[in-house]
Order: sequence, then structure tokens, then C-alpha cells
Amino acid sequence: MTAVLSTIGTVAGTLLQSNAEAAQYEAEAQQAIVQSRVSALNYERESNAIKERVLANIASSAARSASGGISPYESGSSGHYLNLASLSAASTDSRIALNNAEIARKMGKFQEAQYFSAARTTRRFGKIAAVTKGAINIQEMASYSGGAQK
Amino acid sequence: MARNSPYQRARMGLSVPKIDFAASKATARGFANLTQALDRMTSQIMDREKIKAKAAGEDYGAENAPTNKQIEDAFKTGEDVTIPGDKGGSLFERSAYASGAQVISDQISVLARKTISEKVNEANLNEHPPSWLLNEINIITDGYFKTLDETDPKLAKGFRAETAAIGNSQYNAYSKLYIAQIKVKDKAIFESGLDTEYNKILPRLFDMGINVSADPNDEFFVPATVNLINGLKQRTIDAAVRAGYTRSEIIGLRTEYDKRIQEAATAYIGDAIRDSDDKFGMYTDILDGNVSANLKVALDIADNGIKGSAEKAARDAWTQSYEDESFVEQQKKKFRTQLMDEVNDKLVPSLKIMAIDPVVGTEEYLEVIDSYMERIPELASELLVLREKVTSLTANGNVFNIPIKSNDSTIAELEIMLSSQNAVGTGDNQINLAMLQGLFLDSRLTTEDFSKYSDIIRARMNTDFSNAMKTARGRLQIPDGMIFDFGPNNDYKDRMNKLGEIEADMLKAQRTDPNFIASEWMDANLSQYIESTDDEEVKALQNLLDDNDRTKKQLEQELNGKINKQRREEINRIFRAALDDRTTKKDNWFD
Repeated sequence: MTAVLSTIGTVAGTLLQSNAEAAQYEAEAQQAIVQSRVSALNYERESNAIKERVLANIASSAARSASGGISPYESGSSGHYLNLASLSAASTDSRIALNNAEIARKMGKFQEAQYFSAARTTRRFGKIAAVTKGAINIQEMASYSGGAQK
Repeated sequence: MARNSPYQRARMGLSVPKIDFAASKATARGFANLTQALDRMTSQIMDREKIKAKAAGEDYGAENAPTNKQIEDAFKTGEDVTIPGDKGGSLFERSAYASGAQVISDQISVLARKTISEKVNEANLNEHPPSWLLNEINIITDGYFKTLDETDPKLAKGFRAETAAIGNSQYNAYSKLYIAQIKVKDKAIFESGLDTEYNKILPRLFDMGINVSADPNDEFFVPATVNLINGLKQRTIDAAVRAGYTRSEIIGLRTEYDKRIQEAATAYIGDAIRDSDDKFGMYTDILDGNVSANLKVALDIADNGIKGSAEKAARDAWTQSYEDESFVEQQKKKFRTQLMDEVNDKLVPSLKIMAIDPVVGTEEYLEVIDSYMERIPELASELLVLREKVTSLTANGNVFNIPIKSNDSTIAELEIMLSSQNAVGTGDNQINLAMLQGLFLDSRLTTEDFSKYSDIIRARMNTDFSNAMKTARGRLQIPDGMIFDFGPNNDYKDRMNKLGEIEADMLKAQRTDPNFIASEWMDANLSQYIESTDDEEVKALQNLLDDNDRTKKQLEQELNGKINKQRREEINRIFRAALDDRTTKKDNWFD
């Protein structure tokens, strides 16, 4: 009787353990997707910040040119070239930031899928392990108590 | 002017977040766990199979191990036994081998123990020395060792070590027991010998001497000497030491041995004194040390106390001897006198008949004499005289006549004899009833005179008279029973004469005084006879005895010192009388 209870205990314990592990994976999946969204949002905010910074830069450049007697917007002027260079660099940075935001979103999804898959696998192997352990238990006990329970 | 500057790059690159490939990991871990579980399951199954194989092997090994008989045979022939299975084979074979070897080892162990036990019993029964047992144990250990030696040297060595340990413990136990038994045995043998020595050898030490033969089956006795006796004692003590006697036991043995020697010496001295014919000679010889070799050794080895006792015993024996002789003599005399009295009474009627009818009277007379001669041989000589006288009287045709008047010269002779003789007895020249009878038969006395003198002679036998005479003898220091002075120097001549005078006067008083009481007469008159007999030496000794400051012991020593050997008998008499006197006066004066 004790042997049976012990075996049941082992099986149940193994199942509960694998379920707990699966639940943890599922939680981690949720966390991964949230984290990827936060991360993407941060990248987007950074892209906006880049745009703001370049506009400010252009504005100050125009003001300085004007103060120096140079037409800031005149084509071929130094101010004009300076602004072009600034816009070019800023757009590159902005694109990188937006790309990063995209990557973060997609990778978050991938990570989520990984965790869900792990949770499913854990649950499945948990069942197999429970059965196997139960079987070993029964076998071991049979070896202790002789051929009567073979 | 402020300098115009372009937009500064954010130096930013593409960023790819790190991915945790949790699914693959979970799969891999799941499979790993599964594999592990399956391995365990397999291992369990394998273990069970191993156990089965091992058990089967053990069963086989145990079942096919050599029997006790096979092992015993192998022990006897010196061959190796075969162990089932194979030491380098499969698990089954190895198990069979191990099991078989264990069974063999156990069996050999049991057999070896059993055999060793048997040998221990044998050793106990036959009292073999421990070396014998050790040898047997070695034979057993080696023999069983050889049965396994080639098959399994390791097992054989293990077995030998185990058996040797058992053998050793058995050997040690037996050795202890053996030594203890030997000790007990040695002690028992020694004590048996000691018992013999105490009861057979020591008591006869001075008679038989000492056996000095080195051969225990032979005897060669030499007379005991002090050295030989001490050697004998030392030999016994040495033997006691070898027999495991403790120090206190040795001391006890020494004391007991000395005591036994002293007892033997005392007994020997006592026997020598008691058995000696000449008690006085023995006493003087002991005092002078002029004794036989054996007695000298006994006296030499005896303690001072025993020596003193020996001297005293010899003196007592001597004193007792002449007191005994005197007593016997007195008894004899008394007996004869009573008999002669009786004979006289019987003969007087026949004498009266003889005066009327000589034939009948003579017959009756002879009949009385003959009857007494047969019955009382002690009287034979006296009665024979009377018988011859009567017979010759009849043969000569004479007739016995009772005279009307006694012969005067006979009366005178009788008076002289009665007054001068000091004792009534049977010796020559002494007056007695038989002699009176003779005179009557010769018709020299009237019946009246015959009766009168008979009465006088009988009076001498009167107790009071005898006691008075004894007192006189005592005061004159003449030994009891002494009739004549046989001494070489006529020591007693004067005093014997004095005693004769006393008796004559006492008889005279008895005849003249109708109220005569001998003891009273003696009290009143004795002193006048004694004065002159005390010579100077006796006086000096008497003075010594009168010295009240001396103890009895001191007096004894003084007297011994002053005694002249020639006069010992006499001095002893004085000494005894004086001491008795003093003891009476001083009540408990013993020290």
C-alpha cells in the first residue's frame, strides 16, 4: 500500500513540477512580448528625438548664417550644404532607430513563441517523465519484495 | 562669431535582442531526463539479473564444495581440494568459486578447531607438556593449509592466520593451565613428602639418624648431628621454594619444622630418661653432658627451655624411681608381714596340737606351710626354713615340746635384736615372725613369750609406729626404703645407727607405757637424736634455705651450685623437704 501511495506521489509530483515549469515558461513568454514592445517604443522615441535635434540644429545654423551675412537657404551656400549634411545624417540615425524598433517587436514575438513552445514541451515531457518514474518505482519495489509482485 | 556646426551622429547601430531558445532547451532536457530514467530502469534490470546470477553461482558453489570427508582425506594425503567455479570466469562462476571457497574455508576452520580441541583434551588427559600441544597445533595448521595452498594461496594464508590465532589462544590457555597444574602437583607432592618427613622421619631423627643416600631407592642412615639436621631443614625449605611456596608459607614451614625438631628432641630425651635403668646416673650424666651421642645431639639442638626441662625431668625421674622402689618395697614388706601374720595364726594351733600329738600336729603344720608355699612363693624361703625344721625334728625322732620357761639366752638375744634392729623385714640378721616360729619350734620359747614377741613384731607394723619411724627417717635424712647403707663412703652409717636407737627406745616405751602413742613419743624425743647428725655442709644449705629473700628458683640455682655430687641424693632430700616446708609456710610461693 505504501509502495502504491509512494508511486502515486512520485507521478503526481513529477506532473505538478512539469506543469509549474510550463507555467513559468508561459509567464516568461508574456514578459518577452511586453519587453519587446517597450524596447520598440524606446527606439521610436529615439527616432523622434533625432528629428527634433536636427531641426534645432538647422534652425541655429540658419540663425548663425544670417548673423554672418550669409543666406542660410540660398542654394550653393555653405549654410545650405551644412543643412543637407545634417539632414542626411539625422535621417540615417532615425531609420536605424526605427529599424531597431521593428527588430525588437519581431524578436519579441519570436521569443514569446519560443517560451510557449518550451511550455508545451515541458508539459508533454512532464507526463512522460511521470509515467517513467512511476514505472521505475514499481519495478524497484518489485525487486525489493521478490517475485510475488512481478 | 559663433561657429556653425552640422548635426552630430548618434553613433547608433542596429540592435538585435538576445533570444533564449527555451523550446529547444526544454526538449533537450526532457529527452535527457527520459534517457536517464530509462538508463536507471535498465540498470535496475541488470542488477536484478546480476543478483540472480550471483545467487545461482553461490548456490552452485556451496552445493558442489568438497565434503568434510573429502577435506579430511585431502588433509591426510596432503593433496589440494578442488573449489567449484572459476575465479576469473563469469559472474556465476566467480560467485560459485567464492561461495565454494568460503564453504571450504568454514569447513576447514571447523575441522581445525575440532581437531585442535581434541588435541587439547588429549593433552589434558595425558598431561602432555605445552610444547607437545604446540607441535600438534602446527601440524594441524600446516596440514589444512596444504589442502588449500595450491588451489587458492590467498585463501590458504588467510585460513592459516585464522587457525594459528585459534591455536595460539588454545596453546596459551593450556600453557597457563598446565603451569598452574604443575604448580599444584609440585606442591601436593612436596606436602606429601613433608607429611612423611613430619610423621616418619623427624620423630625418629635421633633413633634412626638421617638418610644421606643420594639414590631415592636406597637408604644410608648416618647418626644425626646438629649440622645434618640443619641441612635436612634447609633441604626441605629449598624443596618448598621449588614447589612454589610463598614467603609467608616458607616462614610458617620453618617455624613448624623447628617445632617438630624440638618435639622430636623432647620426645627422644624423655624416652631416654624414662628407659634408663640408672635414673640417678642419667640425671648426673645430663648435668655433666656425659651422654650418648644421639642424646647429646638431641640436647644440643633442643632449646634452653627443653634442656632445663630435661634436667628437671631426669631429676624427677630419679626421685620418682626411688620413691617407686620404696613404695614397691614397702608394699612387698607389708604384704609379707600380713601373710606371715596369717601363717603364724594358722601355725600356732598346729603347734599346740603338736605338743599333744606330734604326728597329727606335724602333719597339720606341714599342710599349712605347704599350702602357703604353693600360693605365696614370696614366702617360700622363710617357710622352707620352718618346714625343714619341723621335718628334721620329726625325722630325728624328737618331739616338739613347749618349754615351761623360755631359754634366757634366747630372750636376751631377742631383746638385743629388737632394740638394735631398726626395721622388721626379711633380710639377714633381722627379726621376724618366721624367726620367732623357729625359736618356738626349737622349744626355746614358752607360748606366752612366743605370743609376746609376736605382738611386739606386729606392733612394729602398726601404722602409727611406722609413721613415727618414717618421721625419724625423714629428719635423719635417710631415704625411704633404705635398709642398709650400701654407699661407698658409708654416708648413712651414723644415721642408720641413730635410727636403730630411736626404734629401740620407742619399742621400750611401747612396752612400758600402756598409753604409748608412737607419734607423740616421736614429737617429744626426736630432737635429742637429730642434733648431732647435721654436719656443716647440711647446716650451710639449711641456712641458705632459711633465707626468705630468695625465690624458689634462686634457691634451686644456689643449691645446684653448692651440691657435692657425692651427696646429691641427700641434698635433694633436704632441698625437697625444705621447699615443701617453705611452700606450706609461704602459701603460694612458687616463683
